[in-house]
Amino acid sequence: MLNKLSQDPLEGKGEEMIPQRGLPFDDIDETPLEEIPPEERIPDFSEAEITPRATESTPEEIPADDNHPFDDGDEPSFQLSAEESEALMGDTEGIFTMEATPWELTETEAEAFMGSADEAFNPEPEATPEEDRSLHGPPGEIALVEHFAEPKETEPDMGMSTHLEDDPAEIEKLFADELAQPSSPIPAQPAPGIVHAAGGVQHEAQSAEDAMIELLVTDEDMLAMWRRADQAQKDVKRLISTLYIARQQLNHIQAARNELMAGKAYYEDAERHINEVEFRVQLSIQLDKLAKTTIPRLYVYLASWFIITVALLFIFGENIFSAEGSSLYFLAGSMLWGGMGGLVGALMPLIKHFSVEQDFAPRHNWWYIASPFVGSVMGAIIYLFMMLGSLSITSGEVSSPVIIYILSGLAGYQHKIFTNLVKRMLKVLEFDGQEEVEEEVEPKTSSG
Amino acid sequence: MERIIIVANQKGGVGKTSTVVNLAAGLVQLGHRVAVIDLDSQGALTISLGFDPYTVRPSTYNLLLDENIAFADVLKDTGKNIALAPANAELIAAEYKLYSQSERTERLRNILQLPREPFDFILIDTAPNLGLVTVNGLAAAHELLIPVAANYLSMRGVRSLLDSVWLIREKLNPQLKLLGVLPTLVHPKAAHAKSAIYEMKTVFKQKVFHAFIPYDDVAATAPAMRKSVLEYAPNSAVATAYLYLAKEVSYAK
Ligand SMILES: Nc1ncnc2c1ncn2[C@@H]1O[C@H](COP(=O)(O)OP(=O)(O)OP(=O)(O)O)[C@@H](O)[C@H]1O
Ligand SMILES: [Mg+2]
Repeated sequence: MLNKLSQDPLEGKGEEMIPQRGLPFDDIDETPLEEIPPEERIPDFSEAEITPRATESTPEEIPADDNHPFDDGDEPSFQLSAEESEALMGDTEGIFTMEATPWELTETEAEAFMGSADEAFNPEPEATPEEDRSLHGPPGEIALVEHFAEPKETEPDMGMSTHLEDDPAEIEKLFADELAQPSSPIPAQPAPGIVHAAGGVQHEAQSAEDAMIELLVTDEDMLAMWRRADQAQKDVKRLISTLYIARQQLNHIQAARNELMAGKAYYEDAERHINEVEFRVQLSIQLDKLAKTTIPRLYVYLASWFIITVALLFIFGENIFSAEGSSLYFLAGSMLWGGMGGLVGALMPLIKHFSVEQDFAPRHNWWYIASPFVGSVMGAIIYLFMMLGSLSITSGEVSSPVIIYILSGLAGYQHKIFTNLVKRMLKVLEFDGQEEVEEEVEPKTSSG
Repeated sequence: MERIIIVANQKGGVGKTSTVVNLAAGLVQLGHRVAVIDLDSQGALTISLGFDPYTVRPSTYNLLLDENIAFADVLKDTGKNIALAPANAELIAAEYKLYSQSERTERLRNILQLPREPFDFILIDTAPNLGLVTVNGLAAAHELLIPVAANYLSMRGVRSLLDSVWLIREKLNPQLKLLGVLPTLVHPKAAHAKSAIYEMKTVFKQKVFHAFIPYDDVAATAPAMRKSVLEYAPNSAVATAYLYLAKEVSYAK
């Protein structure tokens, strides 16, 4: 670092100043800064003087061995009376109170003038020993510089930041230390972190993004999130009885705690995990309520369907299953078996979502209620197709209705697949008017 | 239209306070009504304008934390046609206290938006960190002036400031625009200072002020006299540069 700086302190084209995602302003190129009428302009010394990468004079020519005694002019304790300062500065006054403006000086005059001022005063009043060393100080003069440079109480960030900036290893260590100390079971208490930010003792090495996070996520937020994790854990134990789901949730909680311990930067990730668990817990609470109302009703409803269907099959079995029966009986049979399929097709997901996944959502009630009906309709459609001979298994004559019933039952059970199939066939046959074909989707689990 | 300009740089000692004092003085010379707000608990601006940050009350601390306070309540007459909202040393506590407040980042903006007599310019001086108090300033300001000491290490600090500006613009103040980058502490003769300015121009192009502030100890002495450089050494290079800066600022739209 030291070598690099003394060789070429200003390598590059200012990339160090550009954040990763670019400059936060979009008008840098377009809007010129000012429109000062030419007659009001001071001869534009900046443009004339600033040429790219001037190399003729090196930083080393500026001596770093003289600290100006007055460069703390804005320190609260510094209260010189006019006389005192007169006495202190009297003979140097002439040097730094310039009577002529430099842009009126000729180049050589300015050179001569600035040269003497530079020699008389430390050119970098704010430079810390490190800075001085790296920018100007030949290694041999370090001791001298350090002797003069006292630690500055009023600008604590100076020494720290330049020091840290100079040594990437140091920075890494700092972060490693911070990460390695998850403070306490309740990490939302890290008052030191706050002191850090608020006291202005802020390392520039710490990115501004981190600094902002410090500001936007309070300790209270962290503490609250930690409590939410605790609460979520209790709820999972109390309410979730399926092992693998409980395990999933506990994993989320653990992940959230890890994020919280890693620091405020991970607050949002922790929150995402906790949200997931809380949602799942909420679902279980809801399910507890539903277990006393909606779900028994659904079971009763489906059971009634089942009993009625079985009764009807029992009563009309002879007509329905005989190969010589009338087509009306075949239609009824298809519908009964389709309904049975739909019933089973509703019962299975109901058991799955209620007892296994524990994520039954009441908004799917109507799907369960409609399923046997849809199944019946599917059965009827299957029958009609068979009759139309579209599925020319028996070429018109029904040898055994059992095949139709099996198909109807399957159609009822998986009505989604069959509606799609039917749709496709309708398309092939260009039967556009068939509106009774319902698109039904098995309820999806509501959580991930 | 009142323009609220914040002078900020997380790097310490780059001339933020000097810039506020002298730019204010320059703008007054150009005939503008100017107020300055000290948001640095060290109170350098307050001292430079002749008040003691250990005793002055009410201060920007009250502005940030008290209910029912108006901007005018804290303004002090500095006798230089500059109204000062001074900092009290207790401002350091504001950082902690603001944490538990609901609008902790928008207190200053809300107060400045209350009906009041307008100024032409309000300049805000900030501490060399990005605490809640500084964020309050950034949220309240329309324009950002970044003084950058013309040396390598100082320029590196600009990046973290700009990182924060991203966040400020995204979350708090999308209107905040860059007024300009001001090279400070420039050794007119030193090659590294020249290349520093050159690099600033490479990055910020038109947004680097034509004025730059030469390194000169009058700038360090004037505050001890409780004067701006424009009063203390009106013919100095620093004074001329700040006056020129004032022109650039007042002409900028
Ligand atoms: N142009 C200049 N030439 C020489 N010294 C200067 C110049 N401008 C400012 N200084 C001195 O440099 C020091 C820092 O300046 P100033 O207080 O304006 O910086 P700052 O950015 O406000 O610092 P802080 O970050 O601590 O608030 C002061 O002692 C000041 O007197
Ligand atoms: Mg300051």
